[in-house]
Formats: sequence, structure tokens, C-alpha cells
Amino acid sequence: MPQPTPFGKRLRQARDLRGLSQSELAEKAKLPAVMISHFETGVRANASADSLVKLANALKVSVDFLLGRSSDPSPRGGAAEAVFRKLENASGDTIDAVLAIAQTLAEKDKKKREEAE
Amino acid sequence: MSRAAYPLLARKRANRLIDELAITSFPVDPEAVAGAKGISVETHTKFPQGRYGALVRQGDLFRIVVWAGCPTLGHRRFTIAHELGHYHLDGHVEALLASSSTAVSNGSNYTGRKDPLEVEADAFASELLMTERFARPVIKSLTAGLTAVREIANQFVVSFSAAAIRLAMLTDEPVIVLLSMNRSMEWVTFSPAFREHDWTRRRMRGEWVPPDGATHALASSPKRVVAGEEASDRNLLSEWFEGAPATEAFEEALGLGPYGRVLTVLTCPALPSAEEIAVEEQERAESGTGDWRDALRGYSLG
Repeated sequence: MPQPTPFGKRLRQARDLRGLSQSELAEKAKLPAVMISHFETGVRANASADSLVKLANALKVSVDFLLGRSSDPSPRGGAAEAVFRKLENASGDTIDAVLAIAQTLAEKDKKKREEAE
Repeated sequence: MSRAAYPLLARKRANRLIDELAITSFPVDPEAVAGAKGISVETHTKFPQGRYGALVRQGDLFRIVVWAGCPTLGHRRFTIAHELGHYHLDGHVEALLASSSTAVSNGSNYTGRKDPLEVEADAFASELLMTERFARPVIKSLTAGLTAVREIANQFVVSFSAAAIRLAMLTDEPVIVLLSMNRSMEWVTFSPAFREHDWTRRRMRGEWVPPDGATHALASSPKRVVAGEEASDRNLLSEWFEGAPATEAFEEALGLGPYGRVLTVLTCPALPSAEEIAVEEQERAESGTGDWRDALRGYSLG
């Protein structure tokens, strides 16, 4: 009988964290629901990069978290890198504007979380 | 599941990707496929020797890096498709990207490599660029041989060796394609017409091409190989492979340029079936007229 792999366990953990059922995650990630079940139970031991990226995006976690290489589920590693790459050739004013927007959005998120609590 | 089945799964995955992206015509553009997946393709001039491409991961972002020195557009396209294989196939990213660093692969089918992950990525690339639904009708319309290889390479924008392997996989005719370096075979692919011939199951890598054929003659002149010259000859299939029937084989050889390899296409229009060979050997053994070694060949002595 197959045993859950570290990846399968992390997938389950991230899905629970986001409060999603297997079918809800499948829908968000545009993957077959049976694939999610097979990953979590270890029937299917490994995923492709394509599936990992889809799952990480749907669960708002990093690929490294799903692979068990990071204990931080936040996706900011990849997102920060994406922003950094887009800003490589930007002017100082543009970078300042992006930082101001990021700060405003982060404060908005914080307020939302506090209201929800 | 046996690892031998995995290249078949890799081909199925490439087919699913073609469906997913609603690709309805060829040549398939692997850079556009990469773009649709959010993977950028970059060309670099400095690359480790003998390597053509790499799949690179930085965090959650993936990109494909291709060597600027790829000898032809076909090689470049195959390299990108090969790296897309590493991206789309289960377990590849974990095996190749041990950390948030770089995976480097040869990205070509030139070396007769044995690593299962590379074989799978090659199968994915072959199917993505020459998917069966597009390639089979083209191959059916051509007479198997070197001219057909050139036509497939031209229509699907792939290397001659990639086109030759696809020809051998999808043709109904008895065709063998092989790549040799310094007259030593690197890989051999048989068309399905040879499926019941047990002698084809032997490992042939490292065997020598026959000394009196066109491949040998071409390989004896490195200048001709580099210049991409062709040569042809007629000989017996049994001169090529031990255990093969003594049926006529038409040999066409093509020099593949500075890499020094020769691509050979053997067509055997009168190939007897495995059953016919067995009956003939039985009759010869019973009549006692044949050479005793011929009679023993049917019993697989080694």
C-alpha cells in the first residue's frame, strides 16, 4: 500500500491551510481531482514542474514549500523574485512608485485580516 | 510500472499538451509553447561543452536556456522541446533540480544516452515536434528512405536524426535507422515491421558497421562527413546484424557535419516475416543441406 510522500504531506497541509477540498483545489489548479488524491496518498509519488506551479499558484504557497524544501508556506519568495526581475530595467521613480503601491496593498491586507478576526 | 513504459507516457503527455494548447498545425513552435506556460527562452553563448540546453528554476519561476551554438534550427527547437519535457514530466524537476539551482541536460538525441530522464525528455520532444496525428499522414505519403528523412526534417523543422527516428517509428515499411561515430553504432531504431524479429532485441550500441558498405566508406573520409555528403549501396541485412536474414538491404548514408557522425537508413523491401525465417531454418535443418551453424541459429545459442 502506498504511503504519502513528503510532497503529498505538504500538499495536504497546504490544502488544509487554505480550507479547500480536493475537488475545489483541482478546479482552481485546473488539474484532475483524482490527481490531487493520488499525490496526497502517495499513489503518484512525484509531480511535474507544470503541476507543481499550478498547485503552488492555486494554494498561494511556494514550490519549495510543496517540495519540502522550505518550511515557510508563503509564496513571497517567487513573487518577490518576479517583481524584482520586472524591475531590473526600471527607473528609480518607477521603483519608488511600486514600493509605495506594495506598502498600500500590504496595509490594506493587514486591515482586512484584523477586521476578519 | 516498468521504466521502459515511461517514454510512452512522455509521448502521451506531449499529446495532452498539444490538446491543451489547441495546436492544430505544424511545425509546432516550442518557444510559443514555453511562452504559453510562462517560461522564457534565453540564448547564451557560453555553455558547458557538449550541452545544448538547460531548464533553470529560480523560486517559482522557470526558464529555458539554449546554447547559441546549436548547429541547426532543428537542434535548437529540439533542445527547447526537450527542456519542456523536463518541465512537464512527473518527477523530473525533483530529480534534476536538487536545489533552487540549475538543471543542465544535453537537449539532443545525438549521444545515444541512457539516462531514463533524458530518454523520456527526448520522447516528449519528439512527440511535441512530430506528434503522431501530424507526422503519420506525412510519413504514409512518403517512400521510406533518406529522401523521406530530409522531407520530414524540412516539414517539421527537426534534425535529420530526429526525423529518421520518427520515420522508423511510424512507417509501415521495413526500415532501420542508425547513427554511427567512427564506424561504431551509437543507436539503432527498427520500424514496427521488425517487431517479431527476435534478433533486433540485442543491444547493438558499439557494434561495427560492415566494412564494405556506404556508411563505412563515408566514415572513412571525415571531410565528406563534415561536408554532409551522401553515399548509397546495396548489401545483405545479415552483413549488418548477426542473426538477421540474408535479405537485400538498400543502404543510404548521410554525413552529419562537424560532429563526425553518420546517419544510415536501411530499407529492406523483401524482409521475410519471423515465421518465414523460422520455417526456412527448420527445413534447412531437416534436409541437412545447410551449413550446421545456420541450422543452429534458430535456437538462439547466444
